[in-house]
Amino acid sequence: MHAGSVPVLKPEKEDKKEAGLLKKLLRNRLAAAGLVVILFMVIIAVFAPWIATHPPNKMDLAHTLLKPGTDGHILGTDNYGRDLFSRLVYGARISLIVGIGAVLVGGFFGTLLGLAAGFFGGKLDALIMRTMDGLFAFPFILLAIALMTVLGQGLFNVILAIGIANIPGFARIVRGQVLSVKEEEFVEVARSLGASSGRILFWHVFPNCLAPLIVYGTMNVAGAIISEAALSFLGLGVKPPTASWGSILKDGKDFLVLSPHMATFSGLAILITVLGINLFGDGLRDALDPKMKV
Amino acid sequence: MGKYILKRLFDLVPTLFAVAIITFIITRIIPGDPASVMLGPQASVEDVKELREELGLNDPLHVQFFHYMKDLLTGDLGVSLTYNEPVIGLILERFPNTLILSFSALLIAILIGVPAGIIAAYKQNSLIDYAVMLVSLIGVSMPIFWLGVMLVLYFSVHLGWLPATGMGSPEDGMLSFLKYLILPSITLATIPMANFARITRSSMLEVISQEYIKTARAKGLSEFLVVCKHAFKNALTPILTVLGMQISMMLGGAVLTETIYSWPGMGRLIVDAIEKRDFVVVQGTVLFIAVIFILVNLLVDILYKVVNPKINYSAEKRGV
Amino acid sequence: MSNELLKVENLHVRFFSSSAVVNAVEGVSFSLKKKETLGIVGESGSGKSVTATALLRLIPSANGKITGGRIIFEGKDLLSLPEREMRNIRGNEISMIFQDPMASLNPVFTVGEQIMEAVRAHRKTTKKEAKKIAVEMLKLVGIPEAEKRISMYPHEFSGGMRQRVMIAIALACRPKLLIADEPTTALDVTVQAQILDLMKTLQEKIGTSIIMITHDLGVVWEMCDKVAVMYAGKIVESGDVRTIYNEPLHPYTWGLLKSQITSSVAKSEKLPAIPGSPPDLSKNMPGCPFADRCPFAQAICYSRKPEMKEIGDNHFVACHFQTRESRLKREEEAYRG
Repeated sequence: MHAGSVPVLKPEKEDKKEAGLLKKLLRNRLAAAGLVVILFMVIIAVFAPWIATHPPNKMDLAHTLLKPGTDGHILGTDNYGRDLFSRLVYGARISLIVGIGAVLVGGFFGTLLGLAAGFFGGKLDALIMRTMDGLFAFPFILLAIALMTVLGQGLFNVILAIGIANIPGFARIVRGQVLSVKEEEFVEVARSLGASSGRILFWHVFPNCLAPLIVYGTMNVAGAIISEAALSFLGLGVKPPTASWGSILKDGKDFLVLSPHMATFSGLAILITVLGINLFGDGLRDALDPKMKV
Repeated sequence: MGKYILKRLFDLVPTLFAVAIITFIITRIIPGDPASVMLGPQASVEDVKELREELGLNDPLHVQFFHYMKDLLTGDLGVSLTYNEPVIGLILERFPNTLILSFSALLIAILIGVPAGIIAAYKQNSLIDYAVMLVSLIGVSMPIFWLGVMLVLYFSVHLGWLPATGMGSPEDGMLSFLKYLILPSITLATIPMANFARITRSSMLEVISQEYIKTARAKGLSEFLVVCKHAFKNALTPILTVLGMQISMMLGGAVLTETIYSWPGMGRLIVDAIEKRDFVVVQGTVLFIAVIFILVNLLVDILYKVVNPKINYSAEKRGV
Repeated sequence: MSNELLKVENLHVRFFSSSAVVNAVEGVSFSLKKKETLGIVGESGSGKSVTATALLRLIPSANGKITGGRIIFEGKDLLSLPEREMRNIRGNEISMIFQDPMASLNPVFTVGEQIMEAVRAHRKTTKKEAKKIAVEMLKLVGIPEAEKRISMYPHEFSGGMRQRVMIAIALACRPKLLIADEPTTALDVTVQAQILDLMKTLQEKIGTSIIMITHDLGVVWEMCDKVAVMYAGKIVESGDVRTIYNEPLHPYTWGLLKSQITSSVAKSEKLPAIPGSPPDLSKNMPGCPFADRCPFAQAICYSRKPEMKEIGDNHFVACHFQTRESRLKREEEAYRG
């Protein structure tokens, strides 16, 4: 801190919170289990090429719909003879990329809008929130579907579509936080010390919005993963033959009677991953502030 | 109360306007040419140009917008490119089916989810409480389209009890109609049910520790009255907040559910239109659903005021 | 003895948490006649509120339990009654009002509805009749424009008015006993006096006995015929208000009286406070609970619990030393130092 700068004023509770936070988190065993699941999936996604047993897109029309355990195919093969296990492993990559990407997109723009709306109020607030209300009127999936219809399939488009659909949620949460933080005394103090609005916004207000933002963002990753799977399930997600859990489920649906393993395992992958994220997110929220309105 | 409703109706207008604009932006302004997407990669340049001309995509934006708003205000959502019929007609044909499905699902979600939450809160930290919390957690983490597929796998394929697809009609007999309705409704109801259980539980927990509950007991009221009348009415507010969101999710979830069960509703309409690249239908249906949702939200807001006279609408809604 | 309304014998209440067992109330005994007012005084944590709550068996069962004693109301032991009968008594024969009237009134029901509910829970009346009674009650507690106010919500009333509403609810069924847990603590000073006046008037009219829980000795002086002083879950002294105020025997009572502002304390003098703080109720300590803070504590005080002994006419004290004479003189010096 050098002379002339305005000291960052955070409420005192913050420091004590950090120390207790980790302890609290670890004490909650369910949350810890969630974290383990998340890390497990991340490792699978990152090290996919080493974990997969076969090239995920290699077709083998002579050996379609093999049952799990046959011929070195741990989970069997799909309707094109591609190894299911490997496709699921690479599917983890898609889920991870979309999950994080979409949340970053939505989080970034949503936070900016929420900060602006909450902090400056007045007409800007009205304009932004009306737009957000408009976006909110569309069920999330439908918004993503509409966007994808126009953008066309592809990984980048999926991230964009889900990201855009995410924006109003983040905006609302951040705005709510800003409105309550704005009233706290330390903001007044900063202003009286001569800090500019911009500085107050980014150095004082924003850090205090982080807690619910982090929890919401975590839960949102789960939502994004399901959304990507849903879009792929409808044929609107990543382009085939890219392996996505959703597209595997889509194909698996057509072969339910004879070969349920495709549908079963792909869905299970989604369920376990999302469950892990939700467990961790719940634990995170309880550790940060059980009364958080997220 | 009347004043409140009027005020809310008045507030609706800008939101409806925003919805119309957003739909317009998505379909006309976002880069990517809907015409070529629709005709597919094999189409010739002339064909694409012709289609663009037909759809009015070559006109300047404000002209397009003017036509668009004019059409909207007369209820004209365009003509389907695949069926060659007015979109609004197609929607209205299928809307009742989606309504039946959504309504059943909502009923199930509320009738099971809310009492589960109340019981879990009342018996906090008991085995029942943990069971409800666990099942709810799995419920909200479940991909609805997977649940549907699994239910079909078990109940239709494996057990053969229930039909896998189609809707059936009440004319064929109520029982047979219900048979078609059960699986889709349960599938669609699962996530909202879990959410209702969770939010009811946390809301009730907060309320039950309040002073006025002690007063109610001190009056000599039965536990049932204390919990279900005094506690619950206060716990209702957050539940109603979530109700709007759940309905929104359900309208979206209906799309996926109808796909799995071949239920002839709006969701199927959208998905078919997507496959056929009929963006007019997609645009019109999405817009319709958004408007429905806005109206539903209005009802929820009115319910808010009925339940809790203290609520200042704009403060609560804005998340303050 | 037919004049005796309530007799509490050796009441014990314990609270259980994952780490400790707290003896909130230990061996509390007192009695109350018809139309009498008893004050229970003590600081926070003394167990006075818990005692009050226990009388109506409203201790939250999740972590608290009445572990011993008898509560004899009109000849019946309340602790032996099935819950259904207990509910007949609550709000009907014994009523209770609480400290914070805003928190104690349900925000989503009108004031009228809440009074009517109390009536209809115990009397077979039609809605119309109940409404009439509700209006009467509002008038009785001094709320103007009762017919209009009956359909208003708690948040539309001021603090003092809300407490009046609470009293209306509590007295709607003309109970024989009213338990008031710090009814004026959350109110402005001027309003406090009004509410106390109201309670006294209504007591005359309806013939209710009152148990007044408070930490304010002034309120006790105003309202009560008898007083019981509680400390660390036990009654340390009890008797007629005048007797105790003029001749307090227990060191704690003496300290309490001294520490509240009276006209005899000159402005320049420091307010005497009792040094130290109440003991941890989860630890079962031998000896007198006040020993740590008592200026006169001797060895016996730390090793043996004093018993309640009758010293004067209806005047009970729990202290090893009861000679009045030597007491008074030493206390003057002790507290001044």
